[in-house]
Amino acid sequence: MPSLSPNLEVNIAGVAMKNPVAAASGTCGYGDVYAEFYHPAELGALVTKGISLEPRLGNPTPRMAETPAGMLNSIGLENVGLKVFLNEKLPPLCDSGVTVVVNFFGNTEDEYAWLAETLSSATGVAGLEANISCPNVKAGGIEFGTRPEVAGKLVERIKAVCGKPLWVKLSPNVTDIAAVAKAVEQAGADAISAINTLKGMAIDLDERKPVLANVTGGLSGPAIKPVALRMVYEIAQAVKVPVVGVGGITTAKDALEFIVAGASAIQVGTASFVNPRAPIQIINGIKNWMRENSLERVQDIIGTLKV
Amino acid sequence: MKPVQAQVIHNYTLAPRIFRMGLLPLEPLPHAVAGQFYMVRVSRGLDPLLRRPLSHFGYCRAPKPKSSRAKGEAALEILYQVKGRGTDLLSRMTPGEHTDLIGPLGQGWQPEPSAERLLLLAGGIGIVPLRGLADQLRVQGDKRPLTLIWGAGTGSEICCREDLEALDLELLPATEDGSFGHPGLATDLLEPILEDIGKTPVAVFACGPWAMLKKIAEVTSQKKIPCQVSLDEFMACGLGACLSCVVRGRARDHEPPQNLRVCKEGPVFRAEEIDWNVR
Ligand SMILES: Cc1cc2nc3c(=O)[nH]c(=O)nc-3n(C[C@H](O)[C@H](O)[C@H](O)COP(=O)(O)OP(=O)(O)OC[C@H]3O[C@@H](n4cnc5c(N)ncnc54)[C@H](O)[C@@H]3O)c2cc1C
Ligand SMILES: Cc1cc2nc3c(=O)[nH]c(=O)nc-3n(C[C@H](O)[C@H](O)[C@H](O)COP(=O)(O)O)c2cc1C
Ligand code: FES
Repeated sequence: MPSLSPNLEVNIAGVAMKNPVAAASGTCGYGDVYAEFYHPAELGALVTKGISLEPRLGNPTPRMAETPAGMLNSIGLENVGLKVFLNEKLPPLCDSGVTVVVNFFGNTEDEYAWLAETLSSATGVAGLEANISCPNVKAGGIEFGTRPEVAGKLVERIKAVCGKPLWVKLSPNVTDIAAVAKAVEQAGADAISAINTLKGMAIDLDERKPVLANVTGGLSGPAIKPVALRMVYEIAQAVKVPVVGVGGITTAKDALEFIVAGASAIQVGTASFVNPRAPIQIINGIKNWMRENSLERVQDIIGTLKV
Repeated sequence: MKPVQAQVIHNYTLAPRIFRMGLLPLEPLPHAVAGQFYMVRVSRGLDPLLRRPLSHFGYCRAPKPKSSRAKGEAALEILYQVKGRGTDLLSRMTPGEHTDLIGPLGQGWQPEPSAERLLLLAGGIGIVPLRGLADQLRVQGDKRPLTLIWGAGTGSEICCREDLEALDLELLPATEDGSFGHPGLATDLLEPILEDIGKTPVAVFACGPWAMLKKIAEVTSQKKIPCQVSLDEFMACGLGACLSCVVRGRARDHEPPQNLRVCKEGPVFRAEEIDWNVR
């Protein structure tokens, strides 16, 4: 007999999650924004807005443009910076009882390493997620995440000082994502999150101007789901570490597709903008689907795609 | 708080491309403060994806069931201009159809109890939160004289005049094509009327394009007149999560500049909170 309450627990390289659904970085603030809609502790985990060494104000507006079944953003990684995060944002977030994964990024390898060391020694942090889709200032602004050797070298550097499980979040703007995944796995990444936003553009034809002040931005939402799903599948084939799937997930069915494709957990981003309760509905939907299919443990369906 | 289903009770055009829609929420919503807004879904599917921010225009009564003597239920109203795909879809909805909305959201207008006269300045569709304000004041029994300067492209856009008259306010229209009222901009009328008002304590409330609000902020700051503005920025979430909608706050002494989220810290701000030179 399948139990009435299926077991949704997963463990992502030492980050214990009571269900496989996390809120994605940059779409849930520091855990304070959806408090009126659900208790954060209902989530499997919450991934914070990306943290940098210094506070950042981000790019000029307009920095959001709607596109078919999706949106572009050029927020430019606005965040409160390490100090305010540790002093003001992290304590209430930890008090809420949610499993906290801190997303972070730097302009140089040194910055990444310093952030990893400091953040991983903060109380209440379950794990870190390194956003490597950032320009490497020393290498002329090419993203760390676009070349396997560069990504690997960065992750090695972070790993050496990081005292907590390290998830590395990959950029989809590459020709061979499996190669980047293998490089960061070899460098010591404990898990891989994929994908970040896809680089895109929107134009106002009447004005003959880009809609975004920054000209280009990152595409997210349902429009990117097929690309994200393909990449998660390819990564899961290429590496042994757990994969966290993200990109366009809106329903429990979407989430389960990622899990079957090889994701051990998933993150919900843009869908929460439209329906703030989306993550909770996805958790409930996964539960229902498992009951209907007489499945007891979500772990048992990870990577069960029949190709 | 959660997204709440609402039934369209009316949706008719008041002027070319301007619609007035009544929405009966199927579950109770918190009472709106004028200046607050709703995030309204314009489709059931995934495209267009995002909700549209639309201001609270006022309350109305839903038509009462024929059998009942009771008053109709309390419904809310929005007033919108068809701009693109989302507002076009909204304009095609018919009574009986459902949409869903989140709200009321953000910070509304502050009361300004020490002012004896209130001056409202609207640019185009920026009338919505100001009509909301005038309506709220009158419902609350506030009898202070209200003057509304409303600038628009052309006379037909100065709509719902009966509604405004019922609020016992002085309407000073301005149109860029000169077809109704003052030929020119709403802001042309600001300084003369402030001269006119003289020493009576006045407060200004404004909603419209950035350039207009910037001008109003300059004039009121010189004259040390309290001024609130309602700002418009592109929004994805309306809930403070995405950081799409920020404006630059005016740096306070020795503190680094901060961004303010129009959806959360706004949409209504005190004019002096904003750094009008960053855009
Ligand atoms: C707080 C607030 C209150 C508002 N209240 C009203 C109101 O009461 N009545 C009214 O007619 N309009 C109001 N607006 C503007 C209204 O939200 C836009 O005109 C509307 O979103 C346009 O959607 P669309 O699909 O027709 O246009 P499209 O151009 O197709 O929209 C594409 C995207 O851009 C966004 N967008 C486009 N123009 C604007 C704009 N001016 N402001 C914000 N987002 C925009 C849309 O929300 C959507 O995400 C308000 C805006 C804000 C921020
Ligand atoms: C407004 C916005 C801000 C984001 N900020 C970050 C960020 O700070 N760090 C990061 O790693 N990813 C960030 N992302 C990417 C998301 O976490 C996610 O990878 C991406 O949006 C795809 O998922 P979705 O389609 O479910 O939104 C952001 C996305 C959006 C839409
Ligand atoms: S619209 Fe998302 S933070 Fe304001």
